[in-house]
Amino acid sequence: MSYSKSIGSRWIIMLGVIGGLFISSCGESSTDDAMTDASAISEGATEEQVGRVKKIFYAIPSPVEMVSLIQDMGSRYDYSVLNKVENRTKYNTAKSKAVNLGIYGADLSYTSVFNQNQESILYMSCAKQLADDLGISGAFSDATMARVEENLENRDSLLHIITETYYELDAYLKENDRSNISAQVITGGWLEGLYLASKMVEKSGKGNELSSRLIDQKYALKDLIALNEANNKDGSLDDILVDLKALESVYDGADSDNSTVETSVDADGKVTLGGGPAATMSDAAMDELIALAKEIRTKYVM
Amino acid sequence: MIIIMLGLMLPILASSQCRRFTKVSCIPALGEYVPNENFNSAILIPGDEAELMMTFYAGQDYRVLICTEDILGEVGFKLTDDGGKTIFNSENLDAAFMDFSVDHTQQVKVNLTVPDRASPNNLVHQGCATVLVGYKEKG
Repeated sequence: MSYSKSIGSRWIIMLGVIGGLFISSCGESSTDDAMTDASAISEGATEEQVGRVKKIFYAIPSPVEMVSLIQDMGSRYDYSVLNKVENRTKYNTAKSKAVNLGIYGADLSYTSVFNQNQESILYMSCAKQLADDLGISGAFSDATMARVEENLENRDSLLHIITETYYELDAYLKENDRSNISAQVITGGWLEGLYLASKMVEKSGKGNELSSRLIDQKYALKDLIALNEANNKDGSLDDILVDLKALESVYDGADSDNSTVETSVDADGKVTLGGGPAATMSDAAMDELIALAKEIRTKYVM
Repeated sequence: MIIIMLGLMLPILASSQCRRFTKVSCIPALGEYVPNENFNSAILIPGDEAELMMTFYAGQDYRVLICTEDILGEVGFKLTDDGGKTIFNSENLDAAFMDFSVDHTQQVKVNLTVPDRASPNNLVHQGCATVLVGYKEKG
């Protein structure tokens, strides 16, 4: 696919040069935010006009992946742990709508992974309404909602539709310079995944695989804090950062060795990443983490 | 004024182009892997670098896919661990993706490098680059 052919007529290049010069005269940001940096570079700009800034992305594991892990480890479905759908009308600020759009997304992932079709429709509807309120309804189009209803019995297809919908939503926010809202949605989804996992550990007991995955969240948290810091130009993420850093201080109590990653390839050509750091946490620290995850999550859903 | 307005809109159009490119040309290449929900795309130019930080969970199978527009040329990429040790390098791969499973949860960095090249008219061409991460659902 040739990008230059699709937009490459001469008049567009001319306008790009003018646009690039205009942006340059306003002072190009030196931030590392990928979408901002990228959009400051115009087709046809000369090499002298282009400042090089390394683009840095912070990808956070999706809530779908977290709840799939919860199911894989034998946890039973528990509707009572999810954010109540009737709470939706309580969210009156852009921040509370964005964070709970992420939280409802994680809950939607949970109901879908466990094949709870009616609940999935309810949570999809909640997410759509919050997205509409935030002016990002495109991702939850009528066509998307119809696809959800058509695929309720097909778990894998449903999970693909959900992740694609949230992907579209994230793309829309980032390309419209609303990366702070994107960070709030992503943080809400991660917090709900952490909360759901912690509730399951409460039931199943510590020292199992699920509690290990809960400890493993320390790595994703590191990236999540970096993501929020990179998008906090207006201070709208200050409160979230306080909460995330409180969680980080609990995770600082987790022990971690520093062994390097070893790559192995089996006879079938399958590649495995072995080794790497292994984190452990005392029961007391785990209790503290579970309590704090609940406290922070409760603050956002109420 | 109209020209300036159109000039200012161009980056937005380019960004939308990147979103469409990713949706049409990149996500299908993930195949059976469920995509991560984060949009990690940027408009790059020759000589640019980008990196993505991500946590990969123990016991999961992943595909990391690098998807770029042809105008950028052969974009090189490598995966490194938290300590900077190279895990994979695209120089040793035939495909623009890597499939692997993970024994222990760990942070991995994906580095992209767009080849630098001289332009006869000193103009720089840009193209979309996307990093996609998908995990495999266990039946």
